[in-house]
Amino acid sequence: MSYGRWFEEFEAGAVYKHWPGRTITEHDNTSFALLSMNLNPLFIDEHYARSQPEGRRPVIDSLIFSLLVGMSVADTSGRTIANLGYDFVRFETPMYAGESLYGESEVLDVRESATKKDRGVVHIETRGFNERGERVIVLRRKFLAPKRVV
Amino acid sequence: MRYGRYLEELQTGQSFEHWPGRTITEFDDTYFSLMSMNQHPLHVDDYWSRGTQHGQRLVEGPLVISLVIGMSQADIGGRALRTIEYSDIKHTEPVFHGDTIYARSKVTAVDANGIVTVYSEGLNQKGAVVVSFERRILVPRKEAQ
Repeated sequence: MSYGRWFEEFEAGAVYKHWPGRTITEHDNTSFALLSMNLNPLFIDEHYARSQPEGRRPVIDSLIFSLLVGMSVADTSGRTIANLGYDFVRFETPMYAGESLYGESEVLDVRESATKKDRGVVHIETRGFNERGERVIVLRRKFLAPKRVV
Repeated sequence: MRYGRYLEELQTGQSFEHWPGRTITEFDDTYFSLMSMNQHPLHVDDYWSRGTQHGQRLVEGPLVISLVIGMSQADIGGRALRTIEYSDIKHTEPVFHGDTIYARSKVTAVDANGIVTVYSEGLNQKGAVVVSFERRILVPRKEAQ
């Protein structure tokens, strides 16, 4: 029974393949856009989206981002004390309703806290892929992981 | 009747106080965390969270970030064709259930290809900045539409 990792369980260079992935539905897209107050018609108006260069509604970026982070937590920050922030979040390929997102994370760096003995900073890169294996998103973030043994 | 801006309407240095804000409820956080597959107990287990640093659950980070982006769209990115990148996202204060988030943004760069760089901050009801980040979006020209 575990969710996330203790500080001691992270090692620079380790790669975790996250499982399961998730299919993003049309409802997800509309619901997420509206709940986050994002009314760009590109995400919620099919008729308008057909008049735009892509000709269809892409999945809203903040949903792809949120979902990738969420599916990475069981293998990474599931015991975290605090998320410190993100260096970047890059969107490389658009996604559409009906496509599925899968993720993996690589540990970039593991560092003891300079001030507190019971924790450390973990730096990871998380990548998201669609069902064809095309990379759709990549991000880097840092979080505080507690130590199992203090 | 307007939502967002065309490239011709955006200039470096413009700043916006977005309106309205939004109160983040317990339902929002539980729903958002679970639908995005985040089962961290700090978002979904109230009993366990009482024994943690703040003695209560914290609102999930991507929810606060997504909301601040959403709030900025009416003034800035409501016509954007795509998002290229978010960068330098900092969570500076915890957000609790019942807190209300407001947002403000500044346009920090506009290039001829339509890439607009926006710096945004989310604030709580006490005026403390809880999150800040930059993002780059692709905005069309009015004449192209």
